[in-house]
Amino acid sequence: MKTEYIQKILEAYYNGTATEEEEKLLFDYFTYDNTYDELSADKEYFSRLSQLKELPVPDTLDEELSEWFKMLDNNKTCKKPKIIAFYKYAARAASILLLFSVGYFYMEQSKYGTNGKKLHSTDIMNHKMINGTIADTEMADLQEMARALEMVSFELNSGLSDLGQVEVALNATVEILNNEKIKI
Amino acid sequence: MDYMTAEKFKDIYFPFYKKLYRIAFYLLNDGSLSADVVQETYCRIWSKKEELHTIKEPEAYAVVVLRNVCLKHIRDKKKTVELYDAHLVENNSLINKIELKDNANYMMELIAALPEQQRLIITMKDVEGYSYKEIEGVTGLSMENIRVILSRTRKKLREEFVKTEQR
Repeated sequence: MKTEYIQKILEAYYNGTATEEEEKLLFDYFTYDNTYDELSADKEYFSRLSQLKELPVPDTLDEELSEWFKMLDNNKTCKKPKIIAFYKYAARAASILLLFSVGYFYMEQSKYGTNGKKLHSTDIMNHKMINGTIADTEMADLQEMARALEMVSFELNSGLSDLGQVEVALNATVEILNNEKIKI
Repeated sequence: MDYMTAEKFKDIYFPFYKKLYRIAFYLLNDGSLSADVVQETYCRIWSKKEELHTIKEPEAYAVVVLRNVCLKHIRDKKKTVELYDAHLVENNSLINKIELKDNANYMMELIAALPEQQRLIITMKDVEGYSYKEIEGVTGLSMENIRVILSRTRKKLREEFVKTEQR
């Protein structure tokens, strides 16, 4: 292709007056043809611009969007699928576990009577009720505990309902890891 | 049919997510944020599902939504990043341009330094190959205005390559 012709189109391109066909021709020309020295700056310009078209899109985006579209129902809901959400649920699960273990420890402690014999918690309450020694504060404590347990079970249930999403995220992660392995 | 089903929405809007990602990337210069922005864009579009059947150019519409999401992030970031940016620009001028020229990210950095409107238009036209008509639809600017902005942007970018040649 003649340099004069290319230069003419280049001028139009930089002036914003080139047609869309002429613009395409320039991109093709600078990709495939050996160019003249006087056009080396333009060659750089067009080849760098062409490189931008090849910017890799992360595979995780494809996975996340595919999952999102799968879960999308016809209602007006919009939850973004995110692998990072896993940590949120892990933290929630860990705190519930801690709460249970502390509770279990104290319950075990209170199961032993003064003679060191293991008692059932109901035995303790029965004993206290028979002797009329159950205090208002203890009753209040029991009610408080019942409320706390109710709250925990509610949290646990809401956590469980989200487990489906966690599973999806985990599956996606495993798939990515497998793909990586294959590549290696 | 009055509104769009989830399946139809996917068929129409999913195929061009890579283009959306690249446009977001060149507007924000941040990969993970761009991925987030693309997801947020799909969420926003879907939240208007009752109106989607009236959209004649879904791709251009998606770019409009994407641009708005990007602008929100740019505004949010601007205040905290301004000081850092001022520092960065100062340091960049000290970096040897020849070193930068050899870097494949050179054009990326030049585009990142442009004003948002120029960044969007050059990315849509010369990277993603959108037509003038589509860019008109996205920006709301006239063809003449778009050509003027493109001309200014292209000359500015080329000027940088001529400068590096002369060193």
